[in-house]
Amino acid sequence: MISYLIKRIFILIPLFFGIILISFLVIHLAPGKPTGIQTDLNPKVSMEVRKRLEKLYGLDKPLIVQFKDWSFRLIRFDFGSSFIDDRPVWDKIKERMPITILINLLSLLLILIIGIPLGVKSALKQGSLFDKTSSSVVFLGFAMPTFWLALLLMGLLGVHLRILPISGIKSIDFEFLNTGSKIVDIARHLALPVFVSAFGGLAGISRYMHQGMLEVINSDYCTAAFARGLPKNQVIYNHALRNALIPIITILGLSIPGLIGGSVIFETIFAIPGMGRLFFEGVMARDYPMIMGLLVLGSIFTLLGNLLADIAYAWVDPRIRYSK
Amino acid sequence: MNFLKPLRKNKLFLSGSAIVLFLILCACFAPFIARFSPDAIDVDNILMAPSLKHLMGTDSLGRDLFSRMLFGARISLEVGFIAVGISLIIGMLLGAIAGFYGGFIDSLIMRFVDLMLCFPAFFLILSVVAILEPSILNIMVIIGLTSWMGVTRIVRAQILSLKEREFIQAERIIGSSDLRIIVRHLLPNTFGPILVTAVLGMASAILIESSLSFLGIGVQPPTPSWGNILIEAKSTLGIAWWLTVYPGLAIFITILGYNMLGEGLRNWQKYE
Amino acid sequence: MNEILKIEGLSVSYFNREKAIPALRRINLSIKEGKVLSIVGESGCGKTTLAMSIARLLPVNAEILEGSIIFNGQDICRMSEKELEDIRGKQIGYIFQDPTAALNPVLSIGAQLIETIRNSLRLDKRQAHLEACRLLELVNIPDPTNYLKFYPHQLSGGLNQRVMIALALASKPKLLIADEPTSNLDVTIGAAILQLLLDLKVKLGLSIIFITHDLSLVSFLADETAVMLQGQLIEIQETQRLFNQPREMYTRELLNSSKFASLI
Repeated sequence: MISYLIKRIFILIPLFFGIILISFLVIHLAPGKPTGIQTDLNPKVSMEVRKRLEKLYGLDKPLIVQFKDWSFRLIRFDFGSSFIDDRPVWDKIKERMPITILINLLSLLLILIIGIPLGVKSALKQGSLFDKTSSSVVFLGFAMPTFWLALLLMGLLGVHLRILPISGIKSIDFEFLNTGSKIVDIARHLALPVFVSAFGGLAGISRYMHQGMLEVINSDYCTAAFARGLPKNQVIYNHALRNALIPIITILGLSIPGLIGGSVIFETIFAIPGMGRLFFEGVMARDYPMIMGLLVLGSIFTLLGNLLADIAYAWVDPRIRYSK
Repeated sequence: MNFLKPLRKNKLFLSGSAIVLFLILCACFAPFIARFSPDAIDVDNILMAPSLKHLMGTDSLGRDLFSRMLFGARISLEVGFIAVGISLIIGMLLGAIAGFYGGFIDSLIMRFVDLMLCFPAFFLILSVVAILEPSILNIMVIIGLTSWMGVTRIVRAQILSLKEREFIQAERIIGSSDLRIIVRHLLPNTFGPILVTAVLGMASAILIESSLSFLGIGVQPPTPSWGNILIEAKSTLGIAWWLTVYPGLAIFITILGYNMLGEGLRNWQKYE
Repeated sequence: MNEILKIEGLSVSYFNREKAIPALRRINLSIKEGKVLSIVGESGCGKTTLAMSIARLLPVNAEILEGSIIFNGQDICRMSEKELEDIRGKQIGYIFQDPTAALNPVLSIGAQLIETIRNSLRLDKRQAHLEACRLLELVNIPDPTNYLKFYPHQLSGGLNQRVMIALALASKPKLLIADEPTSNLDVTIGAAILQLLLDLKVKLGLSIIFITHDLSLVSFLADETAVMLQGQLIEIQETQRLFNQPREMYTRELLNSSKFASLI
């Protein structure tokens, strides 16, 4: 297992280097040099902006020097200062990180709690009404655009029925509430964002679980366990499910970039002060340091997520944990 | 045409193609079906509910939603086709080179694929579109440039498995150039597997375009896109339900249609 | 000596999209207690289907159309799932062709043994552990306490097959069905497994149904041999007599081709 993990960590190094390289290339797309496509549609690209970009990224220095500077700054998480308010980008991100991480974790939890049993049950009742219904629902879930779902739910639950709040994470009178009510208040504010964020992932996990279970149920070892007289439920939980759940770890790791990207949408719609919204604000204001900072950070999160998933996989699967 | 038989019974394929065909027809004949110009502002009739005159109601500038929706279909399809086209070209190129030549260049290309997959796609697209300024062309190109990875893997896998077969060996023996072997013999065999990816890619591209437009950095007003019509929907939530329901429904059904078509094709391929 | 298993007029078909594919056509056979019956035939003749029918392990798309399988006086064709839970494993054991594939890759062999033991015997963890060691010793695995911790992928095919036999015997069945237990193993390892089966037959009074396509193994182990062809049982005799005086043409051809194989 150790050698497997070392190999995985080793691969991270060139990937990290690649992230630095690509982000460096992206910066140079910025209109710091006259591009000739200056039209009335983007009045924000002014001489002043160009000057600031030059100062920040040293665009007048030779490329190698620029790259070296950029690399060292990234390692120190020095993304420069935001164009909007001159505060260090990293500080602004740090403020917003916890809420985004919280929502995404809750969302992952929801995906697992609902998606896995749904997939398992529909696989076990292959061909039944339950299976057909849940397969259709899952299929529809795949196709549902998250921002539309958000708008629909906002309109229905927030405006018409007024059950749930639709913006921010706290009510105006938050400070006056006791601890219990505070938790409930936050929970009510997070309910829609978490649900919307989890919706697509739910469909995905349910489907993979369904396919995984079908494969595993028909395997030799499940038949053998059944042949030994083990009760059906035991075969399903102790043998089938244990094996079918292992690839889900990898899938969870792979869904992290999607979750991060998706947070832009629902944080913007529900006015959640998280990283996604920060990114959106940066994009709207053409706040290049912020954009670059979040791009690099997003990639690092993805890498970390995948690494965690790999570690978990190596731990859980004995074929890797105890490999020669 | 025996291989078409299972397709005829394939419900997913049939419903999916029906939806996609309908969409294409709407887009093509938009100027003829629309009763109003999508840009026709009519201040006397703002935010009207759906009626016989305005089948889907009007927006806050009095523009007919139905007409705007039809022209929005054009945008969605355009973006979809070109973005997917770009991703296919890049994917086939890189996949063919990686699969055919193997060795170092294969590792290099696959590492590059892994690298691109590190970036949350949406973040990357947003960053680049923001920096390059939003325009339909930019969006198409950038979506294409961030969705070739899957195609590459499929093409490479297919070529790896076909590379050592006799008919390829035969071509080498008679001295065919590498280019000829790749283009005439190997690549055509990848079209099957790629087809599913391409169809699903259309759905994905349309989703991304509408998300970008919804956020304000996609298709810019006044050009109608289903996504940017929904911007208005947000501010008129509770007042003008039609602005929320129709564009979103259109996006949803379109994506559903392509997904069904893709799944139908995938099932068909599995049984061949 | 009484018959432990008697099959009368068994017919089984597989159903695939409205088409019925017959697999067994009116099979009649029986096996006496403590004896070994070998079922031989080419691939596709229905041997595995027969084995699975007896163990009631047929997949969902297979159906028993007619006939009866009388085990210990009861017709197991007519039993409910609940009743069959007492039969599977506890009365009829089954070992598979690919031993490593038939073991759960994510559970240690100790865990799998103990699970099976505790399912049929009321033992606490410590007692079950001892019993698991005893079973491994029974199948000639040395140092059982150590081996319990291993996972299937860490062991060789031969060892895994022994584990499978131990698992099959854990619930103390009277009849053991061995479906090509040595086909995936090297010849010498396979021979050791066959010897093990013979020893177990003697030691435990096990009845064994031994399925194989390799005739050269049969004379060593089997008291009686049955020959199958395309879903039908065409000949069943005491093994020595089958080899020396085969009644059917097909049996003769089968014997001849295997003789050639052993000569080469």
